[in-house]
Amino acid sequence: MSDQKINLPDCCIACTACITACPVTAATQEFRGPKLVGPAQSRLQFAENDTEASLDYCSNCKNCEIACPSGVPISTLNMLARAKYYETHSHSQRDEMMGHPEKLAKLITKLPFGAFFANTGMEIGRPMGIIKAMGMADQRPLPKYASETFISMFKNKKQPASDKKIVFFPGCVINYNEPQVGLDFVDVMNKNGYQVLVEEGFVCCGSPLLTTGYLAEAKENAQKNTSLIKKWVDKGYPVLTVCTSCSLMLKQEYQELFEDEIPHMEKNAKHIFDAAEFLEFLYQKGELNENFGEVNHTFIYHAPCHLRAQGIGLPALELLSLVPGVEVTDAGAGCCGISGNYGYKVENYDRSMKIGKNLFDTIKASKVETVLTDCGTCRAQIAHGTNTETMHPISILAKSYKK
Amino acid sequence: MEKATVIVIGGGATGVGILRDLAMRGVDALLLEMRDLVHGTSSRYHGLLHSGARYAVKDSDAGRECIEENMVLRKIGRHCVEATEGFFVRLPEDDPAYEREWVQACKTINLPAIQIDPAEAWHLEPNLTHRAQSVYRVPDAAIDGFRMAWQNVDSAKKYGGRVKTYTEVVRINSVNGQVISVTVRDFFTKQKYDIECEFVVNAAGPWAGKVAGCADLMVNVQPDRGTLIAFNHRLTNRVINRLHKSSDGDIFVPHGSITILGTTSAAVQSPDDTQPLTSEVEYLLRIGELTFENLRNFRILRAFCGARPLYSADPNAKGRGASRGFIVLDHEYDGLKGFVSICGGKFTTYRMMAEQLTDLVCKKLHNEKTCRTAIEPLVEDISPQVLAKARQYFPNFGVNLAASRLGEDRLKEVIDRMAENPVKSELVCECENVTMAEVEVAAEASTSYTLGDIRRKTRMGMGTCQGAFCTFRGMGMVAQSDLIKDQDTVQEMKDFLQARYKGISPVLWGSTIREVELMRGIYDGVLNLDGEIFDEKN
Amino acid sequence: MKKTDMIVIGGGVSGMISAIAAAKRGKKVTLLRYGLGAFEIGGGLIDIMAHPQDKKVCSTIKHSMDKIGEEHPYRKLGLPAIEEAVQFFLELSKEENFAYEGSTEKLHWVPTAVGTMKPTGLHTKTFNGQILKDADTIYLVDFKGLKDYYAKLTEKNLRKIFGEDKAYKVVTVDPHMEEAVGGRDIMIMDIARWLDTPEGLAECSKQLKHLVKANAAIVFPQVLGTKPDYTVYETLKAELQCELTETLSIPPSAAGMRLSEMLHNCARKYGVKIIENAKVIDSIVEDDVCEAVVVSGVGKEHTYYGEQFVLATGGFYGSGLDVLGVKKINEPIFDLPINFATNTEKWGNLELFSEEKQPFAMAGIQVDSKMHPLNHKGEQILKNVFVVGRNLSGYDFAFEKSGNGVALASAHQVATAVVGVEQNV
Repeated sequence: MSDQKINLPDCCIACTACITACPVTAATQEFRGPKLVGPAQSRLQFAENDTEASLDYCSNCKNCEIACPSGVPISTLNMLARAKYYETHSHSQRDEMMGHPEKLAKLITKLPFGAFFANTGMEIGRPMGIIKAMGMADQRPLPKYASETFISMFKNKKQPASDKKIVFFPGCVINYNEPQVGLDFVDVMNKNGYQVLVEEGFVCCGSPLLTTGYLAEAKENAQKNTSLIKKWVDKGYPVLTVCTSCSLMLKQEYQELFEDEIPHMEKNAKHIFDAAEFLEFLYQKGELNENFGEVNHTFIYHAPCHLRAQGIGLPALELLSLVPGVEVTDAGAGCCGISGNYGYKVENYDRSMKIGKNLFDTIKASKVETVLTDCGTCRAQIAHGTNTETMHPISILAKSYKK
Repeated sequence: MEKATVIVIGGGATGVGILRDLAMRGVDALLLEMRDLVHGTSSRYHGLLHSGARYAVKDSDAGRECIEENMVLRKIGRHCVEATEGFFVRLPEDDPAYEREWVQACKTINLPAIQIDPAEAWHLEPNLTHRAQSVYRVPDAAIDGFRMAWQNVDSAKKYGGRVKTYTEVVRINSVNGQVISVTVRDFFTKQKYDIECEFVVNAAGPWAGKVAGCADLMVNVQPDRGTLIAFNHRLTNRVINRLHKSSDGDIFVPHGSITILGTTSAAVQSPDDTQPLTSEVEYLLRIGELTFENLRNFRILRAFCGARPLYSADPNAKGRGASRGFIVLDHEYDGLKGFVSICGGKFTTYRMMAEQLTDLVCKKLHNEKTCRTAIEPLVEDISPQVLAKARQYFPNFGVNLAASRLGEDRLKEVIDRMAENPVKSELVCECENVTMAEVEVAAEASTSYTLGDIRRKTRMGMGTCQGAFCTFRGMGMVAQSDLIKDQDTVQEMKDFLQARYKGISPVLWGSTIREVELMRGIYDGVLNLDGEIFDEKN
Repeated sequence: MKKTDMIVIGGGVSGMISAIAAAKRGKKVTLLRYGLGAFEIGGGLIDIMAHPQDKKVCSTIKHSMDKIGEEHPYRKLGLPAIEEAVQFFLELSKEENFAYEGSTEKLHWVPTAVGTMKPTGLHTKTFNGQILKDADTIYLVDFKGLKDYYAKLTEKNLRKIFGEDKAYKVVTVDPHMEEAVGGRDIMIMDIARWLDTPEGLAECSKQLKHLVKANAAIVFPQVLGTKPDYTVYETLKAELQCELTETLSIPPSAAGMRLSEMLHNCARKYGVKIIENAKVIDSIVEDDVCEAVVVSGVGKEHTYYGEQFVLATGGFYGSGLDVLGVKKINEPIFDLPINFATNTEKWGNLELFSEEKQPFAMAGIQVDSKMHPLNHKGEQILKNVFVVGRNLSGYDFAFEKSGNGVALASAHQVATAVVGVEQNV
């Protein structure tokens, strides 16, 4: 273990900032709170073979880390404790499924009409109680599989050639559930003079593996992705993603978890961008294509927690303000409650809806019909909690460029 | 008038060991300690249960004694000893010739010192420097001074032994050259009174000279100050010793959630001179970072000092030269019957020291019972049923540490309170996992007068935040249940925090000063413990 | 590169106030914050000054400008600037529908959870020591299971202050937080959040109605909500027909959360762009002018360009000042020279509660009356950088009870200075 990993819990001065910021803490008295479960217990774990009973409550939303003045990676400490637990305990079948969305999706999309049957199956399964019996929440519709993956659709997409290239990391949600968002992204990059390359060797960023306690597999994925990213970075091409959980995982969590175990991560991170972050860089340099057509619409923007944790502000909001006709306000109403696969677990559903209530109320009170957010699972949660349409901001930019 | 056959002065390791031995042999004994138990040297040292390897070369008798007693204490003190084992590590700065001498010396005293490959050592202890040239495993262990003392007292109480804390002996009274009583002063009420006795044992450690003075006799104990540093984390799971001629700052000992590095040596006038200095801390860090290169990145919780009770017949022999062996002085040779002093010694051999002293006292009292302190465990193991029940109520990671602190009887008491009122499972000290029920039980003990006394029994306030939160909670709890009468709660909280700060003030940098900022912000800035008191004119 | 008018580094009281004050005057402000400030530690009050020299003698800033050293930030600012800042804050709070009260002229004494009284400056209505003086009966409310408050302790010490002529009674409210058993111990913040809900407020009110008689004074732990409004306070006051006060407490402070949210809402309202989790690690300076600051960000650095910069990074707490050793302090962003502001060799007094100010607390950055940093010769360095709040030298916030007051006054001064600079150009 390097200095870093040992010392960071050492820096905790027990100031309680994390406790005030934790949305799970606000929603339930059962969770013992980030300070206790994270840095405080890390000092006491030598004493016995025990597990913190409320460890599963942590959603890895990163609000504690955003609040901490001492740089303690509280949420990561919790994930590591969770991984330790699963070294000696077995996973449920539900966890197998929820931890491996990519594996599951690959299986489904290999079958002819696989997506159709899977979607139908899930829809039928819900009222029949099958979904719930499997350990997944059934009050909320499960994400639908697209009939064709992004990677497949991308193969047929025509792009103008360019010397300026970027590599796209689609992530599971874009690839299997919302491929159109990926295509919108390609359009936006093309309009800015970039050609988009796709690396088919990329695997799931590993975030769902991590939160479900499959640390060793998350590490394998990290190794694969890191060496592929290095290949592109060495060629001089940045790697972009439109999913804020993927970007946080690739930029930061890999290093927090596997520092000294996987080479090149630190260098890679300098070249990994959230798509809006990259476009905002262009804007700062005066290189952004500002020929935005009018999009007359009022939106609310929700900042995903994993975006706020990246310390880059809300670049999508900045870009949207350049589009004529767009009225957009930042909801500024906290975590939506889903935090990746957390809210999909049957035991977490109620809590996840309680966490998101403030956001849902804010959206409903504003009477907007469309909510923009960069995270796929946030989109699902908000749609479910407010009955609004949800879109990725990049789709608005794409729409605007088309005009 | 109160009375006891034997009065033992000094609630350190030696004193409690003697109390136990006397009580087990059926002698009516009362221990008097001027403050709280282990107020002196016995709580202010490494907490190292020496394997004896440190003394093998220079003082093989001491080394032999250590390894023998080490084995005994592991057996009888399972619940205050952590069998961590230790390493002796030779660095490039250390003389390889000494290593050879040392290996031979260990063999001679039957001390198992097993060489291992440094690579394996680094695997076992990742923080250890990769400059290590050779590494040996030895049966060092860590012993918790607080627990050891309380467990000796608990055991003694079973046999009728008694303890009075905050009771200082100010006079040893005699008639015709025979001790008849002691005059004591209560620390809180300042009242003096006498206790009748036949025999007085002076086990006052570095204060032994002062106590002897109460009988107008001279015992030449030279207090020698040693400073140590406590780090906030377990840097190492084993005791780590430098393999070189015994010197300052060459031992790291893990204790529960912290690590202790020590120590230094400086002659001082008074054993009450326990304010550590930044210069001493700096000195220790410079030595310690040779063994753990990233040492300065680890947070220092506090520094503390203890006074070694060095005895020498020659008034001028100071420092490490003076003997660490011990001596029993029968003052009958000085014209006073019924008074003996025991001086010098080290923690590891306390039981043996107590045995020899008790043998002498019993002979004089015509008591023929044999010593059993090496045979009977201090406390019984806690039954699995009780532990299982504890797990139902205690917070996670809290059972083992609390169980070894409390012993079975008190643990049962704590569990009962939690079962009766679940609120009592709440944590007063979140850094060290100390529940309300445990604080309550500790506060109710007849030897608990201050928050500090509760701290020493429970570890409340000894963790990361050094009392920033539990000072308030602890005081509140105690006041709420009226556990300690007639307290000036504001002064009590200030005293508690000041005692914490005493060890923090020499290390005001890094996260430690941030913690102090928080402490001041809360207790001075927000709660205004120290400002002008509001009165009507405001 | 696009430049904004003002970049504020730090999101505590001083950072928020400078951002809001500048934004209100039409500046485009970006605020880079790492952590959440120290709101949850303080009591949501603005302590202006209570102990200028001697812990045992209280005095307001209005009456003690001559008692504080000339190194003190208040001396650099001057009383009129302090009073303007106070006015600014009071108006801001009124605008946000969470009006604070108080002034530089009078100390307002508020009770604490320990039962001591603490003198403060600007406060919300919910902190009121006067009612204890006036009441015949004082109720102290405990909440079942709340581990961060002990009404008997509060009672014990309030009795010593207010005397035996009054009746004191502890009453207990049950918040029915059964989930907490085996879970997270109940903190003040939890009860405050309970009272934020209409159901919780109604239940608490209902229980208390049976326990208290009208026209008394009621002492609460710091639980009257976590939102910057008086709903909980007014409701309980009306329902119970008693005067109410909260007490100052150990963190996390519900009142601090209210202040934080109030300032946050106000900042957003005036268009301040807030970037979270942004640790500023370096600056780009040319010819004594700061061009930009560098945020370490996650993975890569981000550079923010601006015309003016405000260093509101606080003291040791958030590493605005890094203490590397005894008397070795580093200001990590601009490498500003540190002024120790005391003549002693000591770094810390032997006593925690000392009769003298702590030397380590007095250390920081020396500034001129416009809050520009100075070097050891007293010359201004960095033409467009201001330093505000805890990292200023010459004062001890805990001893004096002046923390948020210095933050407020120095921060407000910056907005004035910034606009003044513009006008002079």
